Amino acid sequence: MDDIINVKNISVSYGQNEVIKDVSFQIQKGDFVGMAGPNGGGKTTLIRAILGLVPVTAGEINLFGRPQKLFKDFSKIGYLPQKHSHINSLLPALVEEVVLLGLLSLKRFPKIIKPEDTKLVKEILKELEIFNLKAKPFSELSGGQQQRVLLARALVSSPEILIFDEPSTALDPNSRVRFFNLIQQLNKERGVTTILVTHDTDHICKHAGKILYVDHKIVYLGEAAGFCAFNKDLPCSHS
Amino acid sequence: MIDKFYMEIMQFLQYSFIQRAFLAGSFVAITCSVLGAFLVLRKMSLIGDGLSHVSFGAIALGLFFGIYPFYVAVPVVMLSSILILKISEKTKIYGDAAIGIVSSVGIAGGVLLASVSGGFNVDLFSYLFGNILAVSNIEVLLSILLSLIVLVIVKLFYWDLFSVTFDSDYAKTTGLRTDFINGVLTVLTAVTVVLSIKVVGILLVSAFLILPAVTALQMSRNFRSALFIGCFISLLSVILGISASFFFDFPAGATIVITNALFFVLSRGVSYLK
Repeated sequence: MDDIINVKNISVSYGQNEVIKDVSFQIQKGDFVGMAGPNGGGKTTLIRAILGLVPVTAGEINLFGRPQKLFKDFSKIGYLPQKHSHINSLLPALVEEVVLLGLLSLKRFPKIIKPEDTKLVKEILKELEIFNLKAKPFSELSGGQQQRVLLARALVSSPEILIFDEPSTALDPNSRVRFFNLIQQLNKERGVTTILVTHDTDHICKHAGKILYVDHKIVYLGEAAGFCAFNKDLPCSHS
Repeated sequence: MIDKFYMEIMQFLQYSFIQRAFLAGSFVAITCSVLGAFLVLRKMSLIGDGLSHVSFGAIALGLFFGIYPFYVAVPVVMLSSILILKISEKTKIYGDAAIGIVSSVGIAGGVLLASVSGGFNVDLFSYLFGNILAVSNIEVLLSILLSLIVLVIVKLFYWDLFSVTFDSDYAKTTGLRTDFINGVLTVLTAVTVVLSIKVVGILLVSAFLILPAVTALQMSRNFRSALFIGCFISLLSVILGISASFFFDFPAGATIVITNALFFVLSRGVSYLK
């Protein structure tokens, strides 16, 4: 099997506080991995380490067979972050401009937006049923609408792996069901490898094929069905 | 009466020093407002203030050695901007403290050189408030050339700057070297600060960078229109400033900044009424 992500014995610390301790796992092409764990257990840190947003203090990460520091095919990765706290709400960015940012990983300097880029943006906005928001300022949208725009940004470059960090927190129950169904559809129909970070073990057991339960170290790594039996204290309804 | 007013305006526009002032001022105004928009949104507004203080020391250095001050100021202020970035990157010092360190050294160095030389105090202090009406041909040429270079570089890096400004974390995941983009923005600011000194003076440079941008951001629902509105406001303030300086003997730099401030108050008023 092709390893899309290969994490070998990594540790991540914030100062003296070791958040991730000697974690190793592989994610193969086409996997749908649900990453669960308690709050503060290091799920987001692990994702940020994979994406190169925080440095690892030990170990090695390979992306698509290349060491992370040498990895350049950023368009292969679509990322939907947990919080919008890094987003500058004072910048009056339009929805189509926000989605265009997802195509920058395909471009070299100087980055010029071509008609085919705007066509791709229109297509993804239509697919996610938010085309009517195209010319609206991102900061004026509801939390759920913003989440869908950021999903469009993650999908627009047709990535081979999608990484979602707590994607459903800003969504109402109906939107959450639609969102999970969409992710599952992308995984099944297009074979897009998916990592979905969530504290919602019930939902994740329904949709993911594998579960990675992280509490500073790996507590469980295996089939979703096995996770229900492994941890009876957590809600889990594997379909 | 209208004829007299018309004649006066025509005469005013025929003065070569007025033409030079309009030309240099317009290019610098546009450059300032474009860069200012990114600086304000990146929470880097104060770097303009810090670098203008450094330019005080750099201009003193030029005067001390008898070199044309702008030839010294451009490289010194550019190097200082890189130094500010390196201090905040490599040490456990926040960016604002790094700006404070470098800018205070600039001011102190300028005062020390002025004191040691004893001869160029008047020249040096004239840079504090700027004098756009006294801009020379070479300064006009430099202003146009450097402004065009800055604007072309902004155009080339537009999407990188936009991406880093909107969401720097996500920008990194697309392979963007955010530190490098910050460096580009800072160095461009350094050049723009030096250019602005002749227009509004060292003390008012940061206002010239910040005010058109914040006003435009209050008024716009998209970033491109904010850039255009900012340029328009900045340009208008320069035209009004130069005109007020000629007709009413007002200081041009101060008039430019006050005009910008009035636009800001107006934009807040309009936002409040909406």
